[in-house]
Amino acid sequence: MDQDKKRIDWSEKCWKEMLVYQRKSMWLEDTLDKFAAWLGLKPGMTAVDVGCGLGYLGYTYWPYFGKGGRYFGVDISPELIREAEDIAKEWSKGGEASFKVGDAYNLPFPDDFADLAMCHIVLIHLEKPELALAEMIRMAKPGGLIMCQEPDNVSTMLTRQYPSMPDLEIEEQLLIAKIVITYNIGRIKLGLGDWSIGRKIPRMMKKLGLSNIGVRINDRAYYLEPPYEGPLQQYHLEWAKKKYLDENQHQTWRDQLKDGFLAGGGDPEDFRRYRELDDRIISIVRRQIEDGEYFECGSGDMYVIRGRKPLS
Amino acid sequence: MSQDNLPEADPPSAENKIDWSEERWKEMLVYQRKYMWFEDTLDKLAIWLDLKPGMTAVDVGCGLGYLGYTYWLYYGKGGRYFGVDISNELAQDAKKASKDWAVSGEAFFITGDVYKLPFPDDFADCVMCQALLMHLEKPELALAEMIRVAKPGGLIMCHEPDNLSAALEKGHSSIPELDLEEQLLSSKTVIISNKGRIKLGRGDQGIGPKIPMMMKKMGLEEIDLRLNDRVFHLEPPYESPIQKHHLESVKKRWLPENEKNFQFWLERERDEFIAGGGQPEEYDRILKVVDRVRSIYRQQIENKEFFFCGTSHLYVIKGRKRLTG
Repeated sequence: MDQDKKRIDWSEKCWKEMLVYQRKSMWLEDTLDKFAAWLGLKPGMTAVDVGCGLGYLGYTYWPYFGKGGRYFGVDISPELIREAEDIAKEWSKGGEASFKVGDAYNLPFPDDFADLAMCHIVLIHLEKPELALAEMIRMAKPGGLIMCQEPDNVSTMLTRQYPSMPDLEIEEQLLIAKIVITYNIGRIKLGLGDWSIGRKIPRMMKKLGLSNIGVRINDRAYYLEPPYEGPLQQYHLEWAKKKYLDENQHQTWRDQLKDGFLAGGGDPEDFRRYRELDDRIISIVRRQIEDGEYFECGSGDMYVIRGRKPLS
Repeated sequence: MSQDNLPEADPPSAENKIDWSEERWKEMLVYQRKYMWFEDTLDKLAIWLDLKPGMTAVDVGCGLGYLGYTYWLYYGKGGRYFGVDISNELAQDAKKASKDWAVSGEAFFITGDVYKLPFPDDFADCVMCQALLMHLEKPELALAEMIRVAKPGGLIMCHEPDNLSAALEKGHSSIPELDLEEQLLSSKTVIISNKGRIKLGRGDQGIGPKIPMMMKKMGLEEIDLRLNDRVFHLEPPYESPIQKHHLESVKKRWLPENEKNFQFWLERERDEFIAGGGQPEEYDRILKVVDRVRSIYRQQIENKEFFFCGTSHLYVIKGRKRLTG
């Protein structure tokens, strides 16, 4: 597969939408309070957000470090940077926010520059996550904080549950496991990043010499219950509809899954069987959503990992 | 509520009952619960649950009173705690231990059956359980009983894991990854064993995320859930108290001095696997994998090379009993 085809353009509509949509209500507010204390965020900090997209980490943690603080968002996409700049006018009160086009492997900052170097769902998309992490460490001050919020999507997929659906056959469950595991092997081969990276980052930090490594997961579980009342339920319902009922979106996702699965050495016949199974699951989900019977309950494995650059 | 959502009326069978006062089980009540929560998480949970001083709390399947002392700080002042357990021995031990923590409020321990709680209707402000429903043949029946005992508007709170997911996802460790066929065989074992477990009346390991829907069908309101944000993270040289504790639990599981215990769990799983419709030859194949992995574990623990990072899938689920009707 050629380089251009595989690389994600995050300013494209379907991807950009994820930058907004998936991140809405991603964290419970009290969890952010708790994490900010755990991370030792303080007003006046200089923070660099690598692969900042629309500035999500900036505005999410701004209440904790923004007063008198400086935020630098870096992204490979000039379009996203422009848009992030616009949005930042609204949230970056009391401190400064600026944005730069730049490469995660070659950050446009000197050594020992930031109190806090952070990223959110970035390493999962990189061919060389260690290299990007090393680069984040380079420009953090000695004693500075490195923070990564990265998921383990393999685990999330392997453990997905549909409480309102009839149990799948064991062979069907194993088929899904086979597809997901093989997909990730292929994904890594294609240079699209390791889908299970979240759980591997503490180890990476350790190897790169960080200290005070700590790890937690997002304690927000997703829950959808009929009759889906209230803004949060409506939001979840919209998201479920997008995921399962929007044919284009679903097809795009399935094409990616197939590319990765085949690149990982998967058997096309297995994928054909998977597609049939997926069609059947989708049709049940669709009917249950329409009939107001659909429940969703579970968790995504979203890790928050922190480490400290040594003083000497 | 349609008929088939009602809990079955038959009294549950008493087969396969675990004696939690037996050493290997009782140890879990102490060992697994140490460092289970971060303190700041409990603070946030207590607010989220709206615990208040002076509450009357009932802890169902209380064991050694874990939920009692864990949340005492938040409701205990002028509060009353009633721990109920099927094991008289545990209830006695818990009572002794409670002298240390149940200050400025009262703690009582009662021997009793989760399917038939020794309390009147509409009794408690908060009815709670931890890692209980996952062991029951009829979790809905126990949940219905918890609801009965709660006051209208009262809180029902369950700490229950999804150990099925925890077993399926594996985490990241220094143990070399199994090849695809072995991974699928391992997943198959986990899934079939859980089916067998349920059949044998030992409960559903994956019950956590199923509880909100159960609560909804039983008419509870304001249902919500959260996850424990604690990660099982073990990294040499295992220096902090939490790291030491984690290391001990890994040693307990894998080192030769605990061979007897290890065999006990394997035998138990084999029974469940067969009950779930698995073939004995297939279980023998998984045993070969386990044997191979075990020797790697032992070597890595000895060389202080073992590391692990993975989530625990422990849910806190809450719901409120309706004020009327």
